[in-house]
Amino acid sequence: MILIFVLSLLNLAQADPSWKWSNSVELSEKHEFYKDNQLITHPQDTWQTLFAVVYKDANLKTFKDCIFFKVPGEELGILKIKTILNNEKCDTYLYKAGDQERTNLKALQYSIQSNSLRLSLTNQKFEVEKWETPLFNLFEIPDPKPLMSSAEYRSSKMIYLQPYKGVLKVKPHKSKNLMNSGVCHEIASDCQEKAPSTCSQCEKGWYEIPNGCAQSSKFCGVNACGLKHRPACPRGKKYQAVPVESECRMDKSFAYCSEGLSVECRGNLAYCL
Amino acid sequence: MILGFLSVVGIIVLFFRPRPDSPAKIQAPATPEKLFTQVIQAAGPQILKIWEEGDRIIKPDGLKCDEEILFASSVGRSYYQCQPHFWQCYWSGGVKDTPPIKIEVFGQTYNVRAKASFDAIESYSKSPRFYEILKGPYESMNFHYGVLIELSVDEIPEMTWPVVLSDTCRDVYLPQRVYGYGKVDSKKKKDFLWDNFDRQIFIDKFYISNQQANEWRILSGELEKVIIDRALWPHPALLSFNEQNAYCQFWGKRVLEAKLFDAATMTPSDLKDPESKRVLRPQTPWQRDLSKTFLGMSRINPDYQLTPLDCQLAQVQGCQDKYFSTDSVTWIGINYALGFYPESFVNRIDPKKNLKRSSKLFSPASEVHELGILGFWNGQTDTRLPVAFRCYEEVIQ
Repeated sequence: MILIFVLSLLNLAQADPSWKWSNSVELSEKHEFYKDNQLITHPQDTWQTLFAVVYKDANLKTFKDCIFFKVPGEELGILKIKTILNNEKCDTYLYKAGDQERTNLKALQYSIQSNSLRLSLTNQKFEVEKWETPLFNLFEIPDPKPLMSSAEYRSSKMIYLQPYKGVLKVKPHKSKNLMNSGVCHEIASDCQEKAPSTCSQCEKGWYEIPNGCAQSSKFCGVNACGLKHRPACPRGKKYQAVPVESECRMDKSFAYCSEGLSVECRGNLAYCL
Repeated sequence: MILGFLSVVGIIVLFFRPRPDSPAKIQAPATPEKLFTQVIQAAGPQILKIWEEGDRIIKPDGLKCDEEILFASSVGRSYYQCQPHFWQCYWSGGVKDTPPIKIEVFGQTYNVRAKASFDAIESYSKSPRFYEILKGPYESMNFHYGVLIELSVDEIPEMTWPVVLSDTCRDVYLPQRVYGYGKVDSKKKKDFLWDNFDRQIFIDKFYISNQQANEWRILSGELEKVIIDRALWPHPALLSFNEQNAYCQFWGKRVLEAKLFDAATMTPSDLKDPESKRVLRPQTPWQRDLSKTFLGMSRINPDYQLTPLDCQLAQVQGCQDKYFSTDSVTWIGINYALGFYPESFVNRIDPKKNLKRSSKLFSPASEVHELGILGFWNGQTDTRLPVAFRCYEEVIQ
């Protein structure tokens, strides 16, 4: 097991970085101010985190390549790449040695497009080295349309993992379900989303407690809406009370219960009794 | 005079017109890594085609890998789409004599193939597999069901690219609009309407098959319950209601709800107005009025003879079984709206109406063959009442 991990790290270390970035699943920690193709000239003689490339190795473990740049000033610039685990922050490594470095750089430009990543490195002899990487996995959530499948709606049809050289016995790292219970999509009483949904990571699905908003708070657990003492089932947007102006007690039509039960309001939340 | 002047100006303009650059010869990338990337990228569409539309490359005489997957005329071609056993068959040489995909780039031909990198599934065979089923979700990867494969290029032998294929063949989207559940009861003034605006709901196209249930059993460690007989794999999995729930939950889904089935099978009268609250309840997916269909004619005429076309519309008593048939697809793209197997539902509106009774168990003259007619199932498996099921999923992004 340890041998496999070491071998995979060796693969990571030896690989051409722009080659392995093709299978990036996310570009994160992008620099706040630098724009696409901007010549990076300020602040001089400082280390900056340009962006991080998140990718999956062949065993589905998540790594991240942090791309740092020392902006040229009195000294020439340095491009530094450091591979770390995805749950770490790039900034922690800003002043530490990288796994790969390009020194004596006069200038650097980069651009991140939806389907490609470009870096242009100019050395002190004004020779330009260009790295251009197609981004296979970057995905924008499409508008759902007739005949679309859920798989097409949530990710690319093909998800490219980390390519490797030589022999590597792939042993997929087990996925882990994060939650059996607890909130996975929190919606405030004023109908604003407090945090993005993590409900796809619930072990036994999720349920919601209708509150009259277009989306209501959701929790990990088995959905038993409509049954006695359980949350009511949402009936839809056209049947929702107008938030704030109207409350559950005034208009219960946004939720329904099984035959013989009625919608009961606990605050603005609808249950079945 | 003017013509002469214009001619001279024209010649000058033509002479100085911007010319397209002469096509530069595209050079192969300098490193094998870059070349490998480009070959794999170029092979992507064909890899996807084998995975998603593998049925299209099956020759008329079928497949040559009975030890992996059977080919039968009673099974529709959809069975072979996004089908791991077909993938195994293809790369084992059971579909084409030379499976590798030929990619022409930079003036050279490269052979791309899947590798048999994965452990054998003992319940099926001792051969190493060309895939491994993954149960998501994984960090930064949003899928419930994935098939891990490994791609290599014969001409660049030292490199391998692992890829996850997703199941894009399984379900279809339920458009956002106002829907009706069941029949309208004009006496009780009951007309249950609901809507799915701002909700992304996807419904399985077919019943869950034994082959799909096997995948769940294997991943759950219930190897003793795996159905070995490959002829039964396309048949619906006949599980208790609790098992149906467990299956759907395993893949992040739920057993289909009765109101969703009605929405998916009752073609809206006005497709252009999704907010219309005038929701008609057609009696069949293909004709608003059942009396004009073979089902209506059978009710009137006890001697009605079923035709092959009738059986394509609904597999009622007297029809031959056809699994994964797309002969009678509903307006959103699901199959088996009427006939074939009784189907289990969750029904939160009328919990005692949890079974689509229209099935091959009843003659075409039976009144069960109508949309909105439901019965009760106690949730237990019973050889006299084989109950199929399918799942749905609401995706929140």
